[in-house]
Amino acid sequence: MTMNQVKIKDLKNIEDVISPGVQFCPGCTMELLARVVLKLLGDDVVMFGGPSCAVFSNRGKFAYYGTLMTNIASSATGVSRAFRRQGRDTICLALAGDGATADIGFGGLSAAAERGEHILYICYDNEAYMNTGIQRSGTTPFGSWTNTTQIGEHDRGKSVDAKNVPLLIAQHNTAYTATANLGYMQDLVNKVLKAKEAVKKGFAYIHVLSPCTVGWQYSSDKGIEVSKIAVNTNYFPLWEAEYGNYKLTHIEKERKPISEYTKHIKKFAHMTEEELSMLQYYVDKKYQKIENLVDKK
Amino acid sequence: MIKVLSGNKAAAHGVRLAKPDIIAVYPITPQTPLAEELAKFHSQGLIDSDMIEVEGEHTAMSAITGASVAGARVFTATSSWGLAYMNEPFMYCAGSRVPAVMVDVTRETPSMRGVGGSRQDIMSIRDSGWIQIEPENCQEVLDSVIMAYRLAEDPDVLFPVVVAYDGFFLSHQYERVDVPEQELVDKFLAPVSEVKRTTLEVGRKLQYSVSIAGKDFAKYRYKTLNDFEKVKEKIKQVEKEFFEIFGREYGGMVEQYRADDADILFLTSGSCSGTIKTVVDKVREQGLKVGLARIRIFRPYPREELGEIINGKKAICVIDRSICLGWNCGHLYMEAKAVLSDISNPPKMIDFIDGLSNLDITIEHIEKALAITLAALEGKDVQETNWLIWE
Repeated sequence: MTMNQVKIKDLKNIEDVISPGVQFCPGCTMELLARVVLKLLGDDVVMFGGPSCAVFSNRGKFAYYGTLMTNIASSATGVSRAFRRQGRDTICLALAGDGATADIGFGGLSAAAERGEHILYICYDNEAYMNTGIQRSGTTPFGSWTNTTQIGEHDRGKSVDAKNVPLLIAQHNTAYTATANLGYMQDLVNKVLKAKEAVKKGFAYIHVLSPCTVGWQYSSDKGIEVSKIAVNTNYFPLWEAEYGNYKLTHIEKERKPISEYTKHIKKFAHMTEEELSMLQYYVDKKYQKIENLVDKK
Repeated sequence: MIKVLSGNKAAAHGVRLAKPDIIAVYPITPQTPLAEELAKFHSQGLIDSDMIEVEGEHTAMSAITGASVAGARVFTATSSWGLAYMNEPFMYCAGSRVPAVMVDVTRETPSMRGVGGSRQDIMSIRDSGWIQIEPENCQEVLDSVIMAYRLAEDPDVLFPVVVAYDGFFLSHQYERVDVPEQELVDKFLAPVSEVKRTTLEVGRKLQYSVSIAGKDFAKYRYKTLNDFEKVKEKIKQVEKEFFEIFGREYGGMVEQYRADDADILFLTSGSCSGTIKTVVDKVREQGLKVGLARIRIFRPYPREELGEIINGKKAICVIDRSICLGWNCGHLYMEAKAVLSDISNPPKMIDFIDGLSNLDITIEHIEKALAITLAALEGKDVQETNWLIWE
């Protein structure tokens, strides 16, 4: 089987290097993502991860480097440089949550992207610090409840909108940047394979929406459905960029209203119509921005 | 080859001769000329190291730690706030027993405008598990950098080493330096250059992560504590090897200057030792039995060695370039005081704070310290901690 193209029906034929009995929550989308990514990247990989749900030490048969919360990209930089000096093109794969990516590790990530380090960085974005018990992060959306943006007489969830991390990374003129979604698995598989090629040239980044059943409060069998609706509402548009050339990889003919998405997720349950229309505004604005970046030819 | 070099340039030559694979340095005063000298060496092809142009010290330390785990020889350098900023990966590097080597050009830290030499910054990392070498002059800066690699990468050691030399007083001071030949440095470092460390090698599913807890973690820390003690013996061996190849020696963990028959011993570290030696020579001519013990390796602490040196002396006159808040004294004093309880015949010990924020530790100041110590020996009421600048 050529690894440049993998059909999702063939994924089951590739060895899964993560142990079958890992202690993730039922329906964890990050676990599925990690399994798929490792299947696609092959044997010559070192995975980097900070203290998070995605600590994979002793959880599979692959090389793993445990970092701090702050320095996933910076640690991978050092290892990647040393490997290249030794004539190795081992893939340095970072699998990091949104907190380590958008917040506390953002400086190091931005610098690694700017330097064009040979790192494949995948952010699984569950829109809050889930491992420590659901605290807001830079990618928590407007209005969302978290344990640090609570709903009460004085507060109505997060008061500002999410930081658009994939766009910011793409603006570093990276070899490859993409958004991906487990509800569009073939698109995700294609993007991981593209990133696998791109990382030979420079920095590759994929931002994956990773719904969290505990933190978002939806039924644990609905992770993929919720992912899909995020795309159908343009809440999470699917796009990719190679060295600043942007392309949408999926276009909704008619996007659904954001309430179609939020109604499945309890972290939005308190939102009034007015608040939802504010979120709708942010969603449409964000989509427009990506649309404007796409090369129309 | 004899050259006239500043401490920073001497350090750069030490790095050049050690041939690290990966260098990641973020500039900060007074370390900056070292960063620039390395960049110059690279542009001229004098070093073949891969230079990572980092955006800050946090990444500098994280990247060299990663590179070292992957088997590379590494280097970084910083000062004051930079050391504070890299503290998190700095702790991690030592906690993971990664044999990194770095320079700290020591500087004040308590205020933004503290761009002056002192030893306050380096004292903040005393318990991190880094081996701390504190040179006295530019020659020793160069030699210490080379020794640092021999020590850090030794399979019996595997602790990172920081060479901490005085900001401005050494970093910007030009002195005569004998720059060793590459061949000799290669020979000196051969025992560690040829070692194959456990790394993320091809085909090996190594999981590099200190993710152990409870009893296992306690065991791991117990081993770390004991291994750090063993470094003391290794330092002696490395010094001996260094002397055999280069003909220079620094006395191991504590350099003794006219200390054997001395009644009164100065105790200090770093560049002010030269000034103290001058005073020692001067008062010796007047018949006073005075000497100096210079702490060259501050971590691991030369507890046993210092105990033997000071046991039976009449007085110890400590010159401190940093303050230990909560103890009302400097750090050298505070730590040496703990040694007093180890020995049978403890001397009187008096502390002198001086040279903060780039202030000079002058011959007059040292003489003043000696006069106060003599007064104390005569039974006069003397304060435990004295500030020489206004004493």
